[in-house]
Amino acid sequence: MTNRILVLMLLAASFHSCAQNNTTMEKSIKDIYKTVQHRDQAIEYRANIQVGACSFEFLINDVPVQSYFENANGTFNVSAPFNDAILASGIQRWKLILYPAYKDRVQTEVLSPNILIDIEVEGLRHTAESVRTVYGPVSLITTPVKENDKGEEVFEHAGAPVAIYEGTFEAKVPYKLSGWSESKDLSKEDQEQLLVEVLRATQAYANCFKSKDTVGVTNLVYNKEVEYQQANFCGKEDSEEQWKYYLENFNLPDAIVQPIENYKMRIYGDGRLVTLERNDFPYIGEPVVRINYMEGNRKMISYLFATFHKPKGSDKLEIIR
Amino acid sequence: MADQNKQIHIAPLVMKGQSFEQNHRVLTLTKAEAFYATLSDLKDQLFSKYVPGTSTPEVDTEKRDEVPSLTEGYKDISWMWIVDPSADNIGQGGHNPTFSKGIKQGLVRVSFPKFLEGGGVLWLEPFAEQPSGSVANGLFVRAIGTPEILGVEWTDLQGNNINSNEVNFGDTVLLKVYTVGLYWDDIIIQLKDLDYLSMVDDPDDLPAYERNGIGTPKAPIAAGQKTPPKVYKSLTRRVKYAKYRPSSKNNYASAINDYLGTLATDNENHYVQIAEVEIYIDEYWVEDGGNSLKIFPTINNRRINKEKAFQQDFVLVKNKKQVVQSKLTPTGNVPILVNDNEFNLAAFHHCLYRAITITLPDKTVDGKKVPSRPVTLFEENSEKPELLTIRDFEVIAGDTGNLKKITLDVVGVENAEADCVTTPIHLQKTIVIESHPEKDIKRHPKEPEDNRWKMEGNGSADIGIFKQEGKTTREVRWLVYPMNVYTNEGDDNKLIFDARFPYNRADIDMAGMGSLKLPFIFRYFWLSDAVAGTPYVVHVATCRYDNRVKVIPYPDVEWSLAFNFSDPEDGKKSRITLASDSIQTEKRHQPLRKWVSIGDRQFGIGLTAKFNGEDEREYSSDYVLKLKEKFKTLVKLIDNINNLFNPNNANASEEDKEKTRQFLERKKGQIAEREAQEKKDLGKQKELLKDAVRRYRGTDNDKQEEREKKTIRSRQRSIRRANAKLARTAIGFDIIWPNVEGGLSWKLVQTNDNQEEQYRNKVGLMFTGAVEFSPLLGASIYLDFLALVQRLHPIAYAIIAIADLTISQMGDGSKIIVELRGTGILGGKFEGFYNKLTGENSFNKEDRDENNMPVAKVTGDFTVSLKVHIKIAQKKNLIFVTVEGSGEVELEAVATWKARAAIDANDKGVYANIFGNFDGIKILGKGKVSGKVSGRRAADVPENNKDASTLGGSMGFNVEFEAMPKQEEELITTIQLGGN
Repeated sequence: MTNRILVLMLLAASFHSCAQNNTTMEKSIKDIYKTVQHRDQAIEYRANIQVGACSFEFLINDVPVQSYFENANGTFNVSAPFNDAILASGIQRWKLILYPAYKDRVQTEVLSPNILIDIEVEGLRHTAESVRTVYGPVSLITTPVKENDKGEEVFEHAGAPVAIYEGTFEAKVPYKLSGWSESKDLSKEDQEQLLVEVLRATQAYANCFKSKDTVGVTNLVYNKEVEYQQANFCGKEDSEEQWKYYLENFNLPDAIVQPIENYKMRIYGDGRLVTLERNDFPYIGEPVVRINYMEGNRKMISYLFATFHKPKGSDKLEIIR
Repeated sequence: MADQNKQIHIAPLVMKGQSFEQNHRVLTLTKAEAFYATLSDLKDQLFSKYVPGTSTPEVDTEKRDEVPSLTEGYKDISWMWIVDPSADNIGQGGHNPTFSKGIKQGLVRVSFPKFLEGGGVLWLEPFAEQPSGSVANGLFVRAIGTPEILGVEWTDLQGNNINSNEVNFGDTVLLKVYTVGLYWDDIIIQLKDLDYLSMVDDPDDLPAYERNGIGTPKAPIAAGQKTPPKVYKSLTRRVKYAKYRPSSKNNYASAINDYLGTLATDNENHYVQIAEVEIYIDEYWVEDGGNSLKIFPTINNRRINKEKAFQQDFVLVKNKKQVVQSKLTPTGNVPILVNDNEFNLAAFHHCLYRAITITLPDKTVDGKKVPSRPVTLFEENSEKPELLTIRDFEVIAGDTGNLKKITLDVVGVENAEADCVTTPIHLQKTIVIESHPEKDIKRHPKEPEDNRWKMEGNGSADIGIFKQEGKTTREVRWLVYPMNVYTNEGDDNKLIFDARFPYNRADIDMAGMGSLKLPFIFRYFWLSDAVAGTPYVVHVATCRYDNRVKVIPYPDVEWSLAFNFSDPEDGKKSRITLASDSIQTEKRHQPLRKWVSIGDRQFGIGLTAKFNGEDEREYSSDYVLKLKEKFKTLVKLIDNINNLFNPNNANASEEDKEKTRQFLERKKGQIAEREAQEKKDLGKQKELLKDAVRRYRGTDNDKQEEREKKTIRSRQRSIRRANAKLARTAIGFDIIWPNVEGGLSWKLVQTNDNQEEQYRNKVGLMFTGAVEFSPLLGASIYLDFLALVQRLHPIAYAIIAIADLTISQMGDGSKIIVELRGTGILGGKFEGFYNKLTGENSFNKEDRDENNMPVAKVTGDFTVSLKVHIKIAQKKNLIFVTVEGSGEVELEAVATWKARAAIDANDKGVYANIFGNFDGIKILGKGKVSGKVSGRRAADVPENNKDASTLGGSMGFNVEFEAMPKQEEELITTIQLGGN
């Protein structure tokens, strides 16, 4: 209830925020490729993740790459690109947090003995004709096991409420991004005040889709896109495609931008990033900016990523991822 | 006097319809009638013209005048004519007063009483002073008659008729069953209850519940039951004869009167053929028929073979609750009376022995001599039914060494010439060696030189390796030796001889394998009954018992097989632990092994045989692999490897590549044929699926939609089936090479002295060993995605739908990884011994006996996880692979193929039945993220997901696809671990 009231209070300010962004019309997502460097050394790092029988969050350099909080009678599989979590060459940190699985929409109390973990990272080079693995794959973790009383191999921390694994790997990238490296440490700020600010900024982003304000979106995500497209060595077509992904969200059939609700504020990036995530099953961990729409007879959801930081010397939240 | 008696031999004069069986000396009449007999001495003189089997016998006409003089010498002889003869009573008793003394007419005419028709015999013997009781002198007579149940009568124990009277639970009453033509035969009585209060009730059976003392049922009452087990529904009793006591209430009095008779010893009373059955009115019958019973009998006999019910002859129990005590309270109704023994005519022969035993040499255990306990092969009147007829004796022996000295004892021999009724007599002929596997018999050989053997055939022995003809021309044929006997001929009490197993020492020609020859010992590789040697047959004969003792030799070979199959890098090949033999304490040494390369693996095998009491011989040279037909298990393993073997493997040797190429060549034709058919089937299924999908998309109501959805699933399953074999070649295997280590030995063993009697004459096949598999079969399996796509494999469909890709977009395929990873742990270790004959084993014998369980069980899991990674630049496809099956108990991350192997033995050897089931895998597309801008997913309504089709052309999120359906347990394969 509190959240809903807060959202209503912030509405006016948000519209205002979106209108202000009209002043930066010259920026274009489609043109960012022109600033992209080192395309000849392009590499796409991916985390190949297979995790089963639990919920989990996987982070690289304290930036969320993937999480899963749905019913878990099986394995979750994804190959997740994460170049945008790498700011520069060198040692990268990874962290895996395992939570008890959801079963029939209810979270179990402890970690199952049947947990399966298999996470590796690899670097790919895409060409028009093929894809080649140019780095790795490097295994970060496979299921740590122990023998139970019956001599069977089970997950080593079966029965625990949570398990956290951390480690490092080395990645080479030709670029260097400033990202959030010099941004303000948000963990030291007044968290209630920060939440109000994050809500306001998030709502501003959502409102752009509501009012079909493409310029507003461009302004809000521009810095993020500059870094993202550099990290992913985007060419002309890629830049256009990036812009297409935004545009798609303006033209969804029967689109209804959802109110920001059921959220939880999460701080990442060693205290320098903040975002709102859904905390209701089965959407736990997903972004809160959401558009319901129809695809044929199917009810679909499109959600939009928005992770903020306060750049050095600024007290204003900006989308950086 | 005995001598005088000996002169008096009876001789029957057999008439028409009668027969005489000389050996047992039984005169059989078809019905109760008169028969004639004379004395042996008179028969030749007075009845030389009488043709047996014709009319009434008469003295030859011309001899009539000589009768008085010829019979004068016998004028005082007495006649014994008794009912119920037994070995004890026929030598006693006196003259039957209904006979005149002597034999004045030269013959006697005797009437057989009607009431003794049936299976019983009477005894007729003429004697001077004392009856001899010997079949040499007397005669058994029986009359068969026509069997019939006349009627029944209930009485109390004093014989007072209680027909239709009331009785109590716990009472003992008498059921009299009157019969004709059934004397000494058995009748079967079944008691039933017809509820006297009900007109419509069907009769209830009233079973026999035996007691072990008052109130204690012999068979315990099972949980949930109110009575002991109803094993015996009927009582069996012997028909005898008894004084007849008339009663006005007897419903069958007039019929019985026609068959009454008298006895010479008691002409005051009338006798009748009857079975008097004591019946206990059992309180458990309350559970069978209620507490008000109308008890009546049904009677049957095997010769009549038609049950006769006597519903009008009953006793009543009226609403009784109290139980009284009576004569049968401690025993209840006993189904069969043990003292109703079969009548044994042999018992009347006085030329006899009591038992036959065989004793093996004493054993030495821990330096002390332990006397061997005799094994009884036959025993007169034994309480153990298996000893009432002769048993064979099996013995394990070598041919030149390890001979087994057999001591055959004939116990209690009484074979005096006077007691013998046969020609020639049995004296000094009771034990006769009838046949034996050796060339001749040598009495009292002087050891050891007589134990030597010589060869018949060409040259010297050359055993131990395969031979190519031309290289070795000499072969060992049969070994020739005498049968060593250590007792004198004519010894009627004992026979001692050496038993040998004559190995056939000629090498075995391998049909179809050129000039390849196998060492002879492989003839005895599988120690089934088929390896039994020619028996020693010893005839042990007297008039009473005539038995042939068979001593069957079995080879003394003991095989030891040690093998392993492992990665040389594991360092495991250096040592194999052979099973310790807990029965035979002798230490065995490590069999030699020859290492053979198969791919990058080493296959080691050690095979030795020990026989004839000599040292082990080693058979592990390079020919060993050619024996693989004999090693079914290993062949299975090797075949698996061959199938999976990659001819292009850089590590494979040229020889291995060639082997594989040849193997594939052989299989090529049949594979091509099979695949063509499968492709045809698959194509058909594919079209049907497309139709189904089209219809599904066009549906406009839920019912129709549901129906089409089912059709699609069914088609998907059909495709999967059609694909099952095709998929195999589309799958890349990374074999987790099984590390198999094992040692197994098998040999025949004598059963030990403490074994149950029923096994003591037999040899058993003893397995001892341990086999460890780690794993038995293991594999990491990777689906070759492109191959699957080309074959339109359902998994590929699913991935395409999820990724929203067309085949042309996939480039060289490396963007998509579908990895079906299976890790096998079917394996384990089983070890122990198992005696195939006695069932003795180290795997919880009791459990096995009671539950009819196999010798051992091996269980294992093969876990299968499907890893799906789709790698399209800057995109994420979120895929969930759900596991059907065991998730209800705990969250399962992987599907499990559960296997169990039941290991047991049959006549062909030891085998394993491998059963398996599979949980099932479904692929569920969860969503998609593009360019880290936005993600898309279906709202949370997967149950109603319209896009279940794998051919969805649009963004196939929440695609649900049954990739590997759940499979209930079924028999996967049977592996025979040995056999001929």
